[in-house]
Amino acid sequence: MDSDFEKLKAREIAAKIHSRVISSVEVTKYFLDRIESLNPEINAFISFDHEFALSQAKRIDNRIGSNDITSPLMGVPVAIKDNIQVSGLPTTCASRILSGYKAVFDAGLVEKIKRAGLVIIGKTNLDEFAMGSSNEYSYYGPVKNPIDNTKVSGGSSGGSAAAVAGGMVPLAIGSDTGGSVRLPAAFCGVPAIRPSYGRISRYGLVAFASSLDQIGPFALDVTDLAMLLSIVSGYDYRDSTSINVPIPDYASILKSGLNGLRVGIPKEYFGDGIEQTVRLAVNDVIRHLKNDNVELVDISLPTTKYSVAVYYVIANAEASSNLARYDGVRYGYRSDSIESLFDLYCNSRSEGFGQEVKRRIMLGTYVLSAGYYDAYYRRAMKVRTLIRDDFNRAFEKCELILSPTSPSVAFDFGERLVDPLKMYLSDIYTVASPLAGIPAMSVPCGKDPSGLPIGLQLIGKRFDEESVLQGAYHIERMMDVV
Amino acid sequence: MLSEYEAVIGLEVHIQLKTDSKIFCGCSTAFGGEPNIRVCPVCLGMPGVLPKINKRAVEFTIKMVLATAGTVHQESIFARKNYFYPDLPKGYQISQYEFPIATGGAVIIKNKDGEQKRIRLSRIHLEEEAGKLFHDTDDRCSYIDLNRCGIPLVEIVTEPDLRSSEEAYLFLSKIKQIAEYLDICTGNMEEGAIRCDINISVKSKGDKNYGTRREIKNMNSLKFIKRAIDYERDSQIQIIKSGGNISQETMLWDEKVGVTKLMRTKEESEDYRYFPEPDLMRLEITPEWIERVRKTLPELPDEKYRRFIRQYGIPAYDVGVLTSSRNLADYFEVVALVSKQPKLASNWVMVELMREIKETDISRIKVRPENLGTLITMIAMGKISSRSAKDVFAEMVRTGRNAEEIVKAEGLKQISDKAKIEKVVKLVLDNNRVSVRKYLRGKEGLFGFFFGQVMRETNGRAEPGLVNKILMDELNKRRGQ
Amino acid sequence: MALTYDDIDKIARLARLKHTPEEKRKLLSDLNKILEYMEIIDEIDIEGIDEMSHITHQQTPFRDDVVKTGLSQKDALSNAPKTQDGLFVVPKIIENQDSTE
Repeated sequence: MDSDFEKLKAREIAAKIHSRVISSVEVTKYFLDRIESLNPEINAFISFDHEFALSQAKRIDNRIGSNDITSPLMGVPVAIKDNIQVSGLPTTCASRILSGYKAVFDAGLVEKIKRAGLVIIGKTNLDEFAMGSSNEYSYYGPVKNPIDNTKVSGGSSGGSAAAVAGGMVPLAIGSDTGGSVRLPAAFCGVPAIRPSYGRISRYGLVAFASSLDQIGPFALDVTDLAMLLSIVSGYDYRDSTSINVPIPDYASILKSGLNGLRVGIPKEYFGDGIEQTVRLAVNDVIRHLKNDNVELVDISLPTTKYSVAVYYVIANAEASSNLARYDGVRYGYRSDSIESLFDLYCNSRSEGFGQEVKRRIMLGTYVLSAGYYDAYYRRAMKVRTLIRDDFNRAFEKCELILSPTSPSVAFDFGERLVDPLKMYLSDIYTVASPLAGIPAMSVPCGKDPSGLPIGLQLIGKRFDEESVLQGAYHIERMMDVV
Repeated sequence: MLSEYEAVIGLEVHIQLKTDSKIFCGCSTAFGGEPNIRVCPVCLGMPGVLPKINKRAVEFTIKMVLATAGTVHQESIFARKNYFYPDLPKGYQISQYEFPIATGGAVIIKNKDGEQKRIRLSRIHLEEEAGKLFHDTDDRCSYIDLNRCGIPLVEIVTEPDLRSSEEAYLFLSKIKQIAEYLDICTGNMEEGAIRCDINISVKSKGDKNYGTRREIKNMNSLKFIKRAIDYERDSQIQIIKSGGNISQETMLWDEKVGVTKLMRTKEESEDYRYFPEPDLMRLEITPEWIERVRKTLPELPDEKYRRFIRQYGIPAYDVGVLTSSRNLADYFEVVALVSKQPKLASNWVMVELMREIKETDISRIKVRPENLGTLITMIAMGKISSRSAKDVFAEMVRTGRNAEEIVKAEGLKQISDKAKIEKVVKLVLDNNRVSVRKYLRGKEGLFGFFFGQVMRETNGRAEPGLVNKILMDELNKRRGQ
Repeated sequence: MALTYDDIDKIARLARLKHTPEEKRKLLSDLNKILEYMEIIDEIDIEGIDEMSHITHQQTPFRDDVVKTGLSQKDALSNAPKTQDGLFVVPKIIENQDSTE
């Protein structure tokens, strides 16, 4: 076995497994070895379990042996962000407060992955409770960017992005509340999609901000991504916000590209504060699209400048409530120094949560508190309506909206840690679409002179992941040619 | 002294709904047993879980609203009430705040003198129950059982229309009665199935403005509620009379000492930070759904009361007792219809049956209502004396057998045979010649003695009317001798 | 509407968090900076605008009232820091200090 599996796409590996050229066990072992050797440096995984992974692979090989092939990616390893429950494995959310916690059930998405016969190889690193844009806020240490390990991976799904980009696993699952899938995808140079709110079950995803959280997959290219999205999408009766709509075979519609699709260019996403290299790369794509005779439309999303503020009010308000359950009573970390119930709560939570999480809980608690609810939370909910309306209006003129994923490429460690607001503004292009519940993805669109990847964002109409993926596929092919 | 002041009381009543499963997960709502056995990741508030609403819990709430003439809103929204307490796993309770399922409505209460009063409701909403804590078993620790956590609760909030502990008592009894009629709650107050928070202030009679209120939390006994209100009213009046001010405080009733105690001041009062529950979409209740539920509503206590008075012509007091519970009313109705003797049926149910069941829990009694009806028919037709009927009834209570069977087997049938009774009468008079003479000389009180003797000789089976007549005839006959 | 140390204490109590004086200083400055930034939303006219509490106006789906098996007592308590006799254990609750409901 001397193939370099990390150079193959997931569907190519799957084809070899399905035609019995190689077994899922062998592939799994191969990637476990890669993780063993690379993870100490990259820190993409919080945990991985040989026995757990290999016993799945063995079962899957048996199923394949009896021609029980349930998905085109069957047998391929996948990594899961460590804020998604896999029964029997730890779920840490990269927080001390969940140290020692073992999941007692499978997330809805994990059930689908198991049914499709993918091998869960390990749990990936993240910003604590998915709160962060650089993956530096992890109790288990920061994730390094595999392209340049002096740079951050982006967050909060930094582990999933780095694991795929670093060839430690061909497929990974992340979660995106305000950009947590797209930002690390852009920084690490892989495609990833945050589908429409309600497309993938949130059951078993540890909640950060319930009205915004959505699971999203990572892959090495758009085709693999589309295949994985088809597998993990779909209604879950346990999630009241899950929507029962048909799931297209996304991979089958990619080839039509941007044919017949109008692409909107929002002027607010190309304003000040965007790095020169990013602007050039994205403009380059736009120029090429023009050459390809893609219909480009100038659009305006005037509420863009409010979106970060609205996002952080709503997300933190919901987070302050969602994180109240970590109290040291029924599971997770409990402080040793407790004399009263009040101590138990305060000490366990203060010792168990990291600085950023505490900051957000404080902020969220404040914006919901008596006397401030109307000024912050209620107002934010109203502006959220305006943001959604902006998108609805824009989508009368186009099927897709194109923008940079981030105003910058991957930055240095520590660069934004001192200033939380500066960190929040990393999400400037990614927070609006979650507020509207619409799908968005990041696809690589070039590199800066130092070789750092640049991501391009495509935003689509609600439940129109097809157009988003078609657009990304078009751009991906364009980049291959360029 | 107390009469210059009156209490102004509003209640928040919590009713545990009798659904099979909890409000947001599939765990059973059963009572008792081992701790933490009816729990799952959802009601334990484990990371990553989501709520899904139980349709029947919503339906039961609609029933309560319709029964109290409130307005069901087509659209309502669940909200999170955020606070830390060990019985609340998620750190928030899923409840409703700005947009409850229903607003308005009223409940009519009636005092001893039959005076009616309308108590307005401000809102009815649906929320989840918390777990159970045990503090008393240990000096250093408290213990948590989450079996109860997630049972659906309906909260009924009144306007401040109540003026006395008696009215509060009547209101709660009425709510309990309605819930029981609707079959949406076990009504078992010992198990905490109905609880309430009491808001109480006092004011001079005639004063239009209300005083500052205090809240007494978490009462679950009708008796204690009365005591707590009376105590709190008197203590507030004392404070005002001695020139003090009432401040907005939360109190707890200490039943052992018989006082309300300060739980927290206004300054310490919790800021619940309500906001719309993002894990549940808006709750839609269509007019069609409301109509479907309306069709399933049973006859309610007030309607049944009026009908019983009209249909059976029995006294209002009796009807009040008989309709106090739906099961008792249904039981009575079968007895009355089978026997065609409503008054007799009412007496038997209210005296003999209620003695057996003590409380209104009728489900355990072995006597089937149609059998009691038959027994009453037999009394009415003179087939059995009232005295024997009581023995037969005792046997029915013991074994559940029907009246006719018992009468036949025990030979308890009434003796209505004139010749047979004459024979006994003659025997009794012959054996008491001295007393007969005394009677004939004017000591008429002895008639009862002869009558008793005859009844004893016949084991109480002789038809009393016949005995009376024959005895009189026979004594008259002997007058001339 | 800048926050004060008193506000921080009040919010921290609500959130059941404790901060060292050093953390408090940093927190105060961070939060005020963020809140100042958030004031940007004050400039929008929101008169008559609906509050978007949920992504869609869809109605919440229902669950039938059917009992399902949950966790065993052992599994329910398996992650707990302290248990006894099938119960979760916390330090003794002092009624007026800890009660919030």
